[in-house]
Amino acid sequence: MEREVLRKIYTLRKIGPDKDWKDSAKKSILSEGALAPEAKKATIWDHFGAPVSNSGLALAGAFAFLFIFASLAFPLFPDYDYERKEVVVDLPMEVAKEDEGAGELKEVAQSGDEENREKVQEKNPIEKDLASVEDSYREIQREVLGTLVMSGIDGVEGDLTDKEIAEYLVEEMEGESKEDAGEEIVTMMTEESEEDDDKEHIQEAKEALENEDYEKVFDIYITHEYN
Amino acid sequence: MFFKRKKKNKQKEFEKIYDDNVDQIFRFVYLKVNSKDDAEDMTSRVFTRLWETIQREDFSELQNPRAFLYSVTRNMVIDYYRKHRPRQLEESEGSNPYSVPTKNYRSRHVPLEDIVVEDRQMRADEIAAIRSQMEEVREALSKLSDNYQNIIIWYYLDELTTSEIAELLEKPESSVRVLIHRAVSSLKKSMEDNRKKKKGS
Repeated sequence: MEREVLRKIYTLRKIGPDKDWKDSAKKSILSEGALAPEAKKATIWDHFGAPVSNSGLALAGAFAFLFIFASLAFPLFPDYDYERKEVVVDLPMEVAKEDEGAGELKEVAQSGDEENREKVQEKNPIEKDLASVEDSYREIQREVLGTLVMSGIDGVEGDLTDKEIAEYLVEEMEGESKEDAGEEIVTMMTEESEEDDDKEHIQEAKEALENEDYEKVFDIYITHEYN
Repeated sequence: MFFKRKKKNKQKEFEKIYDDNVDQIFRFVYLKVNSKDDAEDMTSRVFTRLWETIQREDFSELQNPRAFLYSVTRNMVIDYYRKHRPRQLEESEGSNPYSVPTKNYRSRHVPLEDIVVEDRQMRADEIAAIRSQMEEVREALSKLSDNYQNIIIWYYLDELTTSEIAELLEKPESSVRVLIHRAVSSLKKSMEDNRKKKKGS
């Protein structure tokens, strides 16, 4: 959905001033320091500037032609092998055998059941390594998706929970100053509040901010805004 | 001779800043005030202020022209809001569905026809579709807070960086990134709400 919103925002780029008005306003400001009563009609040379000489154009064209011809006849990098080579990567990794432990771990990891995850890991030592890879992957994914979310890229939010998105946003703000982040969050909550329920949470957040309990401010934001 | 050259340099500097920024400043003002005439007038006054600043004897160089221009523009827009009080419009049968009071002094609906948006390579039906989308997003944008509006205009339309926006808003850069995300989410919600209202009416 964000992509649709961004596409519509970009249509506003087409809004702009009249070319004639732009040119005459500039001249008025420079000559009088103020707007002229009526916009003067621009001449054609105001649009296109001074005429370019034909001989100048011809000379530039000749040089361009020579350069292109020379590039084709004499490659710029003669030592470079222009033929495309197929690259074969020999991976020295052993692929873990598929057994019931590994498959079970994947299911448990996706379900988010931490308790059973540890029990499953005890059955097969490879699963511990897989769990670590899974965690690293998840962390990397979270970082990448979080960055994409902040850029307004559509669709990636679906791979993050609302809570994860809120946590990522808080981390971003916290990075520079907890105090600034706390103030900013309370301001955001106040400006965006629409329902009566929000007032209680905002009051709670304000009190936490006054007590310099910034972690509480962040928790309130994450819990109430994204639940 | 020296003074003439000095004046010419200043003029060149002004012209460069003007050419690089006039479109953005005009668009920013227009999206805030919804009137082409007022946008032209205000844009001229912004650049007149710039020219006056450049001409001062003690002027050496403008470190960040864009920040200067946006700072002047924002102040002018605030003055404009103070002068033009919000009008409470009652919804009546047959009235324009967009003519509803907003919280940010932009209750009057002004069509986009008076703004030049045509692209000679586009067909008439394409232009009509673009205008419809522009109306939709402009209406939703007008319902956001000023900070969110500014952020969307600066980041997505004027392509300012987060550090430039942070400087303008006097906030940390990380806060700006969060605000960008929140602003787009708010805009999306505003557009959805408008769509539901239109369906309901």
